[in-house]
Amino acid sequence: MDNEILRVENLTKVYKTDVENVALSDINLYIKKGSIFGVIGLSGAGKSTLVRCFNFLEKPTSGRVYFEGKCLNDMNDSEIRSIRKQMGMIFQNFNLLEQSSVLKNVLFPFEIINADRKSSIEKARNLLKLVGLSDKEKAYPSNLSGGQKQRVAIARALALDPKVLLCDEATSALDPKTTNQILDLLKKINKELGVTIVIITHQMSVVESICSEVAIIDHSKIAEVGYVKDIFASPKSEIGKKLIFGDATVANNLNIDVNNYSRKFRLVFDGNKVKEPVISNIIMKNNVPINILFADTREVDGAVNGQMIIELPDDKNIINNIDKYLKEVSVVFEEVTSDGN
Amino acid sequence: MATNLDLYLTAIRETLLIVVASSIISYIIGLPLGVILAVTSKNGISPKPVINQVLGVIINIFRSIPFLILLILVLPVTKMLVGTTIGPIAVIPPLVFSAAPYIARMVESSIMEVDYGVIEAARSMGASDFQIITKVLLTEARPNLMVGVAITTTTILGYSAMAGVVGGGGLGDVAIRYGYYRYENIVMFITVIILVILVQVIQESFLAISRKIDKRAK
Ligand SMILES: Nc1ncnc2c1ncn2[C@@H]1O[C@H](COP(=O)(O)OP(=O)(O)OP(=O)(O)O)[C@@H](O)[C@H]1O
Ligand SMILES: [Mg+2]
Repeated sequence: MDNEILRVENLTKVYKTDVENVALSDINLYIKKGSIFGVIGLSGAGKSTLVRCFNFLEKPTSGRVYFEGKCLNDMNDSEIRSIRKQMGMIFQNFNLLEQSSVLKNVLFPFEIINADRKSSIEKARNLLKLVGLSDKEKAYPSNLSGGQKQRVAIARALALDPKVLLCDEATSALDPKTTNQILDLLKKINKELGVTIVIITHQMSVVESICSEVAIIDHSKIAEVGYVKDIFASPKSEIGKKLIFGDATVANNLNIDVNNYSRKFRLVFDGNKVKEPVISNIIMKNNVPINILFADTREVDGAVNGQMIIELPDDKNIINNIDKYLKEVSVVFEEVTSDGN
Repeated sequence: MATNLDLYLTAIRETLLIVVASSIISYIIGLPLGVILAVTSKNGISPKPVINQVLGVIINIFRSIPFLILLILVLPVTKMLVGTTIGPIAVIPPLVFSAAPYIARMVESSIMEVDYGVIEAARSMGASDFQIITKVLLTEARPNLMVGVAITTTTILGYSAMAGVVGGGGLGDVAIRYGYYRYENIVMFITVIILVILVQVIQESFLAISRKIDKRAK
């Protein structure tokens, strides 16, 4: 793959504290140049550990990490440091130098490489313009809002023209509106500067709104990986279903069904492709009452994904007919069991 | 009265000389030791348990020797270093011996307070350990270090007065010679007042500097 930028092979990380704690187990993954790649999972799944292995902030217990085809395992400390300069990183807690002004924070990476002072200041100012903080260069982090702090952190991470930007829960400390602004900024950076972006998050909405591909991590392993629109349309793994249909699971637990012989089904459809009035067609063709328990549409990477949970009478013929019809119009149709999966 | 004024002025000048010189030399020794302690500790940026423990034990030994005893114990060293065991200059070595380890511990704890996230951010940008020490740890810890300066200089001032016992010059020397041996209570009283004022002024100045340079949310 020559358009790959990051790859890990059989990556395992074990923390040895009082007990052995396997944070990552046999992870294989590659990330394409120019993509926005999401890594999602529940707390403690190993997401932060994975992203810290990408730039060797954590050394893998075993397995290999490649950046642009070069293996980090074979490098000495100073070579690793020069690789890190090509990968920016931002964090949930922003991690700005509290005692330094905004401008000084953005100048920090330039100081590390002993860059010429005058051109550094010029570049830092341009970066602050890019993130929309030109008027704040003299301010100190303690006087900024969370969103502004993250913008400074982004400007700082972009200082040395990195090829990759690693984001570890970059929006988790922000409110929804600020989150969207930061995500828009990341999208812009990806588009305009061509920086590959790796987003670690536990929020499905973040993956949904900006990632093209996603890896779902569960209990130190990759449960599933692929294009966001495919995975959102039909998640294969238990954890994937839980993360994506999480809301539907709640709807299930409401236990709306009055007649216990009824069965519940999930319909997942691509809003751009399905042009027919699917639900009315089902009702008219089969002369069957449908109880809609849950319905939701999301826009993922340009595609409109809809899902619906409906309740049908327990009648094999009707269900088979509906199944056949829905296959024709390429709508996913699957039974929902009582535990929500 | 004129001679008395001269007496106080000379004593103040000697005391300030002792305090300034001892503080500077103590920091030249104590600051790097404190950095080494913080950096090599278990939660430091480059854990080195053996170095950390050996250094820690040496520092603790010096810290537990009472100053008056140290004053006498280091007499040979003093003689060797400054050529005399009396007068203001002779007080500097024992003051340094007792202040430097104290400073090392204070610097260590100031540095340990720097947020680990900031260190990690610097590392993710490719900073070396040395760059992290100079550009992150020491700069982020500046306000705390300044509080440390306020505490050490005033402590050194107090100890320097004690050095009067061995004819070390300065305000303590005056207090003992006039107040204790000659029963001139007024002189003793005035020297004590001057000492109290000096301690207050020095301490408040450094604390004000610390507040001034601290950019964290108040
Ligand atoms: N420095 C460490 N020492 C020991 N164990 C660790 C360390 N860092 C992480 N772990 C453990 O490794 C596992 C994975 O942690 P990690 O931080 O990668 O999870 P995460 O998916 O990022 O979770 P979160 O969403 O809460 O940030 C956890 O069980 C955690 O306790
Ligand atoms: Mg994490």
